[in-house]
Amino acid sequence: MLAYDLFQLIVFPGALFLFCLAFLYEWVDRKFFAKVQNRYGPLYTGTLGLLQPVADFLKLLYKEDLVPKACDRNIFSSVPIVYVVLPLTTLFIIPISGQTGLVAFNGDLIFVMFIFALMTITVFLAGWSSMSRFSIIGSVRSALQMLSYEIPLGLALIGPAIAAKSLSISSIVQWQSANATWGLWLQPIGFGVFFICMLAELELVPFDIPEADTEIVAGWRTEFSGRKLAMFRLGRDLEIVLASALVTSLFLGGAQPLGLIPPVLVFLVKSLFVVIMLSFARALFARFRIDQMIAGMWKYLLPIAILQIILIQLGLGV
Amino acid sequence: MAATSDSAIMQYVQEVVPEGLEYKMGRENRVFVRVKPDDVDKLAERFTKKLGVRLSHASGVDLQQFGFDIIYAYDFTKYKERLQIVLEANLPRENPTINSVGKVTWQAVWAEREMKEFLGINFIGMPDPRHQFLPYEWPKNPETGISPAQNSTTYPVEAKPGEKWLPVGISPKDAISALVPIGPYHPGVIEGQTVYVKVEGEHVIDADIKTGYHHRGIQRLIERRGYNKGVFVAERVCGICSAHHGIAFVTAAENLYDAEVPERALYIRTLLAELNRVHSHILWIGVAADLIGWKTGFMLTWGLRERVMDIIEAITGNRVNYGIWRLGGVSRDVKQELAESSKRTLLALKEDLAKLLPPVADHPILKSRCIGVGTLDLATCFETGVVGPVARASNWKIDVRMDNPPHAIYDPKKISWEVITDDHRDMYGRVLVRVKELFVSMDIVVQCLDYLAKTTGEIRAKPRTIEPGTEGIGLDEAPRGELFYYMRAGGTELPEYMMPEGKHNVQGSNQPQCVRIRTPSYRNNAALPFMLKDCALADVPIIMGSIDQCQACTDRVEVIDAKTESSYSLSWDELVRMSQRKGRA
Repeated sequence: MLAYDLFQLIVFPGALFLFCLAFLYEWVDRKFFAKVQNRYGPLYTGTLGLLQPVADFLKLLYKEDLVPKACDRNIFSSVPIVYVVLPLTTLFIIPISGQTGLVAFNGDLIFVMFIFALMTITVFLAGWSSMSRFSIIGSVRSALQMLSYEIPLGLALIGPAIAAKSLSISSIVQWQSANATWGLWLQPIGFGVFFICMLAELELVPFDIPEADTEIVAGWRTEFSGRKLAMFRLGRDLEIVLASALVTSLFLGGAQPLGLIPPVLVFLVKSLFVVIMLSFARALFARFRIDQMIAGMWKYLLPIAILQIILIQLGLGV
Repeated sequence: MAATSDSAIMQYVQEVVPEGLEYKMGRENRVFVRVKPDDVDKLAERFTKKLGVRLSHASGVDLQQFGFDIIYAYDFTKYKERLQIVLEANLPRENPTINSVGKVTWQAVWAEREMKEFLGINFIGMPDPRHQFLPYEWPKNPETGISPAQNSTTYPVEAKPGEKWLPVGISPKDAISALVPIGPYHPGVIEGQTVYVKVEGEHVIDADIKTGYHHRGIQRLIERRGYNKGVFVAERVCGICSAHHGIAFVTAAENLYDAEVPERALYIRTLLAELNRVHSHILWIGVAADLIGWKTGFMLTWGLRERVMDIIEAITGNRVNYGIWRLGGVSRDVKQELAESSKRTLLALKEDLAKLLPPVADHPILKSRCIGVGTLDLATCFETGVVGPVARASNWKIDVRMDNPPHAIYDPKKISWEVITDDHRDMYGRVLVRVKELFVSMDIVVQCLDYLAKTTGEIRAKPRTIEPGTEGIGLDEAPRGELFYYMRAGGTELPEYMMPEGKHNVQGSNQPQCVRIRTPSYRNNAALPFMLKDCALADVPIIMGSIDQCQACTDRVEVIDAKTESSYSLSWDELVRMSQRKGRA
């Protein structure tokens, strides 16, 4: 039994599978983004350039790793690892290969919200510790951004929980399966709010304000290179997996078995759809300014999120 | 071709210019007036403040033992057709001192900084005595105590007492503002330059621009090569608006003699100039999209731009520097089939652009990022002397093609087109002006292609001898704004020591005594700090982008040797040797 548990944690649907998924999703994102722009995207490494993200990762691993003299060395070196570990840990909670996550427990939805906040704090520390003007501006922007999307995000996460009367993601998935419905049909507004908040959390266009390359070079990532940058890229990929997995689980029914098709395939198709949507948003929009973003989040997104909760309380969408 | 000076112009010049000054009428209503050095600021006051004319350019010419000639070119086209008045003041070589025009109008400030730096001329009452092209920290001479080009090293964005830059070291207790250098290497700027922005949080409270990363000595290279070869060097001032540099150069050179240019050649010039504008504006729209983070727009527009490049390549054989400009015409004809196929390609492109650009220009995110950003009112526009789409977006109707056309076809009787202006006075206005201008340019191209497909004819007239000492001005509306070429013919009438190198007592020298170029970015960059004040940090790149900066045009002067305090240009042989050395290594 222990061997099986270990296999689950390390190989499938654990770390190894998740890493592969992270690279695959990065490839899908890049390929789709390129197609929208009349480009080819990754093409040469592996079939259809499938191995390009892995190649990039390996290349960065053996590049020179520069550490600025003025930086806070301990934080600067530890932050990249934390940035990978956080989404990886959270992914164990989410049901991927069946309707129960690897480490599902009651209240893990709250844990996910906590991890999201922690990710942003990691980003803030990364920028702040590297002591560069661009990094500091980027990290301050990322903290400001978190202050504005955090509450709508929380409200959007609570919606499915109220409907399923459980704070566990696995039970929410099971509830959707039992009622033969998706959160998307019941709470479309909540889905929209959650999707927008995910764009902001992942720092994707139109909310890539903390790493706006034309303004502040690479934002909070400016000073990182080599292995540390590779870790950040991997962490970002895992975060995209996490975001798509969360959207899938909470609003798209999650890993439901569909006839003979195993749940993991259903999950993959649904989350790929989410990745493509994220990538499409990234291709279609231009970047907002930080003041526009904060104002928009507080003025429009928050009231809409509250409206969704009120609708649920009134008995709609449950 | 040449609208020669008539009596009405003479009369007007006599009214404007103080009595007792000798002046020389050039071709096409260019007037060259000798003034005393003491009078230049008074005349500048009278011209810019009272008459409201623009100072096109100010520059200095080194005449060896004869001292320095300082030229001030004023644009009088709003009073008389094509009238340009050039004031020329001669200064002695020892202690050259002149009253500053920069204190009268901001338009002269950059030019004066440049002259001070390269010729060592002292301007009395200069508002901004810092280095223009050299680094601010340029070392001082240990013997004389002054740096090669004067002394001041104060930044306007220097920390005042009580202020501290935030990011250096982590002591934010008493730090208020941060100094963010944008450039010389930065993803937001394509070419080398530094814009220092002083921010409090996200709010920009002060800004300064520093150029000087692209010295190529182009003016000197042209002077050494003469008129016929110089045009190829002139094209290489800028890779995007190369056609306009070619046209402005030949216009200036043709202004030195009674030029006759066949009409067909004029049409071909217009055709290429406007194709150039089309691809430049498409390029700019792509860059602007990238600057506000819309990568897709960048990719799509640059994909469309390739089709314009293909047309240009089919016509001239080259993509960037066309090399078809000749004194008295062009070197390649456009055959009927080529004109027709180009027209088909262009109309298809126009359809695609009409599908893409208007919805983009109307997009809410674009509007929210552009409206009210980087505002420049008409008064500041005039004071700083901005040109081109930036001026037109502030509702200032200046367009050289209409006011003072180059030697190409822009006659409204022959080609129907209009000057686009907009009264948004901000970033959004600049987007709209460029998008609309793009379509106007395409219309002009179609009309030119129609003419070329229907007719045949000569494309080049023989140039004539250029009289020594003649002066000429060539203007053209580049995609970024007014382009200014001043040229003075060299020749035997001048003493031997004033001759261009290697040419002694040759009748009607083939080399100009001096060539002075004022590119549009030179003016627009100078106005950048005015636009950047009080904006958000996130808007800095797009404001910088909104003037379509072209640094390679802005920095173009000479090489300075710090040890000997002498300026020199690299000769061709030296350059060849250098490139060979580099090639071997």
